[in-house]
Amino acid sequence: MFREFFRFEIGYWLRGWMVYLFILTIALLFGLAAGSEQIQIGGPTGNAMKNAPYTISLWYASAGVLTCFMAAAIYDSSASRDFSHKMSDLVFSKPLSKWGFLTGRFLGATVIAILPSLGVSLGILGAQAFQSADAERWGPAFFWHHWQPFLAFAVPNTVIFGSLVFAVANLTRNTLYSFLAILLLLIAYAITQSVAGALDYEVLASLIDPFGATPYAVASKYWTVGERNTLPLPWTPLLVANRLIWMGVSVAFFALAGRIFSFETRGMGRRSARRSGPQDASEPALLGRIATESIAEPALPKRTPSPSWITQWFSALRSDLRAVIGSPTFIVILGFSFLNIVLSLFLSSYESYGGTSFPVTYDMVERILGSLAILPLALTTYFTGMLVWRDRESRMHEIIGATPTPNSVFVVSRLATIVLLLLSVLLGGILIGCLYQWFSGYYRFQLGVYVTLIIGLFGAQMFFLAVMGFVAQTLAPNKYAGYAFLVLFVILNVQGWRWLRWETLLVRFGASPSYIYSDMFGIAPYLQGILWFNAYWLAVAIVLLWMCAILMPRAAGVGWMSRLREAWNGIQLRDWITPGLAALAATGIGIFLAYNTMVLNTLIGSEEMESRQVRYEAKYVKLASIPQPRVQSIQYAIDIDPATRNIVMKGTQKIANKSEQPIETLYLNIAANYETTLDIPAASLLEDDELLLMRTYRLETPMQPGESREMRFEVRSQTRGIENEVSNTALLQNGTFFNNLIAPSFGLARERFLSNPQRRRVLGMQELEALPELTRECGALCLNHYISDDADWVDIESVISTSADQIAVAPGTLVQSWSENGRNYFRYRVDHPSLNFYSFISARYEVKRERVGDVETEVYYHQEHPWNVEKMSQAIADTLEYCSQHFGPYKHRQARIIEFPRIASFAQAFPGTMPYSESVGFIANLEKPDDVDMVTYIVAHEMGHQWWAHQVIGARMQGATLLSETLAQYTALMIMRKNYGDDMIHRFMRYEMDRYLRARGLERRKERPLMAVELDQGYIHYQKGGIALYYLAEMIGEERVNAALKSIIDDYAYKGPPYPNAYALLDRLREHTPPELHFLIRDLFEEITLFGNRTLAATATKTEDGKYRVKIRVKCEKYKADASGNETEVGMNDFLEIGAFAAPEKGKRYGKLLHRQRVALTEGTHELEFLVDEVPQKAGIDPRSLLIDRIPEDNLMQVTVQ
Amino acid sequence: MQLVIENLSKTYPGGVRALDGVSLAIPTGMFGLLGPNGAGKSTLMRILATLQSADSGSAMLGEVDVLRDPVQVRKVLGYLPQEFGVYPRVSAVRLLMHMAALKGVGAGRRDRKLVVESLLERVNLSQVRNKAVSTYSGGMRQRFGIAQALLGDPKLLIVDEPTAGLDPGERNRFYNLLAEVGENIIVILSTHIVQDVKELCRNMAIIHHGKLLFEGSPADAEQSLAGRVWAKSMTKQELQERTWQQPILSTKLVAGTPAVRIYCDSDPGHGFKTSAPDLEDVFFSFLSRA
Repeated sequence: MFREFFRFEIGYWLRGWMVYLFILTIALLFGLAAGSEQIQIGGPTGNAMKNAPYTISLWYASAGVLTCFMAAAIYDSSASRDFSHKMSDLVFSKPLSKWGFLTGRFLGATVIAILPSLGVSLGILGAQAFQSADAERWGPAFFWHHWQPFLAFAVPNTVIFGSLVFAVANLTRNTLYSFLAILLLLIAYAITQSVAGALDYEVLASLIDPFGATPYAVASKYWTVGERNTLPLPWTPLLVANRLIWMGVSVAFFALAGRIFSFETRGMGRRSARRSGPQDASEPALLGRIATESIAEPALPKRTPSPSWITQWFSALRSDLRAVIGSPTFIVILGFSFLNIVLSLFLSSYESYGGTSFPVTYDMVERILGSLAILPLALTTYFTGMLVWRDRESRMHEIIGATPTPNSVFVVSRLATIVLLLLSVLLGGILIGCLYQWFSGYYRFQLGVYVTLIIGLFGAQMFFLAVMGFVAQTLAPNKYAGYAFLVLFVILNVQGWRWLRWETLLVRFGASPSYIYSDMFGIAPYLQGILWFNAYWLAVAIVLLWMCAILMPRAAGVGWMSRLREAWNGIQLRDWITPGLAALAATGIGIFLAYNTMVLNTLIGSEEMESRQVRYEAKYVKLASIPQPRVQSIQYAIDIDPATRNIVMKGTQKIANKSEQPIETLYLNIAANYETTLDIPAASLLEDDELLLMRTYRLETPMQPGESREMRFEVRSQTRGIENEVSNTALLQNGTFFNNLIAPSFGLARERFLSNPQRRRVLGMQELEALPELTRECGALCLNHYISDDADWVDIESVISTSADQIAVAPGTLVQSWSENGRNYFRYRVDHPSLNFYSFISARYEVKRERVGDVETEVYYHQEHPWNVEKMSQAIADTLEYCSQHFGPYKHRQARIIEFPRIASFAQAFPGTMPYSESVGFIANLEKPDDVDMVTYIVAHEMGHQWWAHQVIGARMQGATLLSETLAQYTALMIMRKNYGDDMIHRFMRYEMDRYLRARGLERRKERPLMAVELDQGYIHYQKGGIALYYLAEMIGEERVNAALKSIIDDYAYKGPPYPNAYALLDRLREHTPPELHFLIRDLFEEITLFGNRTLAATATKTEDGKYRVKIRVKCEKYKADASGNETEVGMNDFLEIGAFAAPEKGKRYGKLLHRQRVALTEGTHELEFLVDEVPQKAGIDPRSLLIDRIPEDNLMQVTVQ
Repeated sequence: MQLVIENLSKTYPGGVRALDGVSLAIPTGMFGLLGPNGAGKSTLMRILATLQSADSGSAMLGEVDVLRDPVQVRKVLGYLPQEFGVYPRVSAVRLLMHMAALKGVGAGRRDRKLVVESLLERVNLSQVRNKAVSTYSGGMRQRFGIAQALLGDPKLLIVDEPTAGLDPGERNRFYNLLAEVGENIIVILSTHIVQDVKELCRNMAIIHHGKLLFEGSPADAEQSLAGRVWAKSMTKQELQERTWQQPILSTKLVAGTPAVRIYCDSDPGHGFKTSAPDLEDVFFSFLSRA
């Protein structure tokens, strides 16, 4: 019995095409991802091998989201086959064993349903066979790397979802409910994802994740590249518990199903059992009417029916809407969507460092759209299928087909239904967003923004998705194939073009230029492109919909040939009008857009871009050794036209030959996207390399060492027409923000090289030496700082103009401002020669001004973002005071913070000016006392840069950023400590630690020790650097560190070449460090050191005088790591803190630090004890997270009070 | 108005020749299309109902070319398919209103409502008009089907095997309704029940294997066999021995005893007596000859 059903089930599926289509789809998706660098699934994998066990496991876990739908289709079909094909009476009247039937079916379906997951392995192995060239990206294929995740994720996930679907399908005998059950589990998954984002809930999130992906991610979150490449699946307790829990759940489902299932049917199963209730129609009484009696017809005017399209359409729309709304799927999906939005809004409101922001509308929009995720796709897939097949499934199609209703009526009514459905979801989302804002006490709703972004822009995307859905269902032979087609279309439309590297949006159905909304300019820069592209695709969509109408079959069981023939027969001339016009419009707009995006503007595909990068490097790398002049001073005349997004920058600069040799040839880099004219006296143009953007001039008389000359340039922006993607986001209608790098620069521009190490390897290029190796006697290398090669300290004067309603800012003090020709003019001059790296900004601003000593502090902000301006102003003042007192005087007469649009989210420091992104700090919500004050922190960091970078700048070699970024971090930490106290610093440190550890695993090249850090290793020079210096300050005292830093300022501030390198800092630190602690310098800066400290036990006993004696057992380990993250244990004799925290008070997140005490510890296990005044909640080692630890969570443990 | 079908042929992919050069002229009134299952009746019905295309031939409804101008035909067409379902959970009134709107009946909603209500009254579904059609019994479903076919006063009513599965009472009621309607319009009734054709139809045709075997009135059909039908009751053994060569038209059991009717131009002997031919005999005779 069991065997019969089992065998039949497997045979049934293997003879069909569905399973093979599923396997192919998965294999295609993962094969494409494996073969490309751009496509990521489940998260970035950094430098790990393409077939690293980490990647394979990640993909198996992530594949579950797709394969669960496929499994649902298989299990549902298996469970309801008898009923849906009405064989139930035949089958169930045979002598069957219930459990044999159920388990046979179920296991047969399981064997089949796990097959699509194999597509992951097939895809990876296939891609590997294809790409075997790149040995560094592909390790040898081990079957165990594939089997383990297959057994851990694919099989259990299939069984989990399958048992749920199987149970639901058997009980309800209705596909709808199976689908809903899947949705329910997916919502659970989405919740776990948002919950896991906040560190504290990891355990809970790991257990309630039905895919098992979360416990896996938690276990591997800090893995280095080396570990990702080699370690097999980690069967941590969390992962095992998760699998056991969910397998138990699925067994429960199955058992429940078996319990309730019975072979009883009533024609069509449960549904008909309900049918004969009192509601149902029974034969009406004849009321004495004789059989042959005829009934008189009412006197109605007889006329030939004259169908009107509108009437037909309205009726069809009503009918379709009723079908959708009446289906329980609709209510539940709607409910789930809203539930999901609500949960994601409330759960993922945590920002970096556990803080929150004001619930500004654009943030709500992004969260709402993010939480909708695949729901619109699921809705569209399901309901297009349902609407297109509805007539055929209820077998009304022949009756309907015989009515004089043109196909277009049905196509348009179904489309309108889906659109209305999606609209209701979006409107609900908007409502929830507004409610959330209102509950948070934030009343700036900006309804226009909601409508534009969600209903307008996102809604358009959904419209095109619906059109795709209809095309898929029209072409498909049955509903399920239609689902598969749509998913396939979507995957190919998104990934396929990327894989082919075709960037133009003219081929990607429904695509329009991406945009970033900003409170400062709305979507003004993108609007034109978006409107035209949407119009283009709308025209195409109309043609497609017309095609759907033509091909719609009016009777079932007709093949393609007869469909086409009937279509051809039925077509009249006037049917060609609409598609003809639409096709004409599409062609016309398409040509217009093609002209705009590819002729008027250039569309350089990524492939072409890359090739240019390679050629630039090959041709010009020789310039590194050719001397070039340096800029001494510049005068700018800049005119900004915000309305057209264009600028004209004219510059006159004095250049000098600071080298030992005469300079004969000048090499000037020209900015892309700008038209540059150069005026160099006594020079002739040798080559104008338009492709690689370099101009070579020969000087008629060579420039002698020490000689200086003057030259002019003019740079014009070229914003015009419509672009495929808006390329120049520096020039905007409000919030123009560009820096001086658009002006021509001398010599080699290393930032133009191809930096992606994987691509370099594939192309056979040498590894990119980002920075020269750190050497003490650096000689010629120290003559350049790392910002640029062509200037030291420069005098800058600017006359900058903008429209009458905006303020323009340039570096330096505002000398003069006036109005002319309806425009605003400003003249600025820097107070002290500065780095040749600064920005120009123009926008409509409010300004807050204060005075600190003889420095004017200013905050330029967008009118609607006033919340943290006061705090920023204060932070500038605090940092000014601290740094002037401890490091050296501040040489500018102003310190400005300027808000710029959230095109980018960083803050930067230029001389005297710190641009700050709209989305950083300005919208931070600092009402809760326990939140880290990110506003002050970042302001202090950028102000710190005024000394560390803009007075002292590191030479261009490894470790350069140590002197700027790390010291700025240190400055910020000291300000935080001053404002918030020592005890609270751990709140901050744990996030820094987490970011460092995570980023190590994503390292694409090699991790360096602090002193040799590369330019782009932010996780080292920011996170690790801050932690290291803080710890050092703890150990040797803040004053000593500051003394060392002051001496750097004294020796190097504003001094020309040779520039200092990392040794400058280390030597001075060592000078101020007692000899017994010199090893710290080595540990923190010269090598990569990690600890593995954990608390094994923590107990407390109350003493007679009401105190508590805390006893802890700790284990200490110390490691040194190499560049790939391989670690070796070393001996240890370090100073660590031990301590305890109390339980947090009501309303607070953190408890008081009851005790901390520094002890010297060696490696191994130690028993320690100390006294505290109150009941401790957690105790252990390194409570303030001052040391880099591989697993920081186990430093502290819950205290058992005896 | 006449429906003139000329040389209509259709072959399904796979080689099945569903219609083979069928030519018919159908006047107003009830027209019966008789044939066994799989004869090609439904194919012909569907082609005339503009739901399927023909390979060759023509069909003209008055001036309108049925094959090339389906939209015009649908305006005056009423079609009751052999098998149909309905949307679940929709009442008769609402569904009929929807069909009326699709057919373009009446000048506005109120007109349509009147027409729908009167039709439901006519087919005796008024009492249950607000219940879901999907809960109706078989007979009620058929009555609904005829109601929707009658929407808009069609000039051509195609009814495909309408009484399969109905009890005798329901069958009668159904035919009474059809008879009323069929006076002044073309009604094509396809069935394999000979009795129905005899009762209702003025003209008929017999179809088998896609070919037209007979066209005329039932009376003419019976007349064509006058004097050539012979009947005899006999034992099972006699039947098995089969001492005559002439083709058997039918073998029925009357209280367990076989009553055999055969076709013969003259007296076949063996105890057979002459019998007045009925339509069934005609039907079987054509089938056996084809």
